[in-house]
Amino acid sequence: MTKVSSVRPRTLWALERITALCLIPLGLWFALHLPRFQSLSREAFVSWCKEPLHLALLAAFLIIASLHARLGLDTIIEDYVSDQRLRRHARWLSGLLLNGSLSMGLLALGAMTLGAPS
Amino acid sequence: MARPPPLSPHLEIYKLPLTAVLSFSHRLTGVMLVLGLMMIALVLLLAVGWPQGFTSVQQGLISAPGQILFWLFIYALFFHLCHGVRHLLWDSLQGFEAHRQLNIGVFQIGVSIFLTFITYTFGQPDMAP
Repeated sequence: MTKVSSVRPRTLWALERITALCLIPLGLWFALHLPRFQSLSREAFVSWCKEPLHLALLAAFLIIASLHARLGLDTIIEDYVSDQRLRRHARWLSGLLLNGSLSMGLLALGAMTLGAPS
Repeated sequence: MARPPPLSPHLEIYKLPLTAVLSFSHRLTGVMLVLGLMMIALVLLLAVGWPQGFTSVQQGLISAPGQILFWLFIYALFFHLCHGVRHLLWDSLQGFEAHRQLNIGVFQIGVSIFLTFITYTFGQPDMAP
């Protein structure tokens, strides 16, 4: 993924808005489904995730929410961390955690699609 | 003994307007949602690779503290979403009038509570896979 700090501010601003717009329907869809997962067995949960529409929406939600989160965290770090070195480390850490969790989520969805036991 | 020099008033003595409180809360809920997003990715991975881990997370979630955290997360999601819509309105140069600031702020809190209530009422179990 391109380093966020190397992208032009105007592009970042637009990207933050575009991802926010995409997350309105995706966030609503996800939030409305979330409570039901509490009672689903693992098998039922995996079957639900494997439905093509659910899989596509879940993957889109994970990717767009991660990008939006990265942009938001960068803004917070920029506003509250004045020490340049600390700021660089904080950005690196937030990128690592978000890219890591995104990869983990996508890997799991991929494994479900390819027929991991459900 | 010399008296300490007088201090300027700190920010805490001022009563922040609702818009400022909401703006700070937007950031706070954003950080909460990041943690939730990581948790969701972890749950997906557990569902595929570690059934016992998935069951443990699910059991933790239905405990009383788990439920509080879970519904706080849902509320944070709706709050962040509603305030995000307000930001998009601001970007289109709408809603800056002083008299509308408070109304929109209160409306936004109301909508996020309403959405959480709807989710609590209609989003509960019994979903066909």
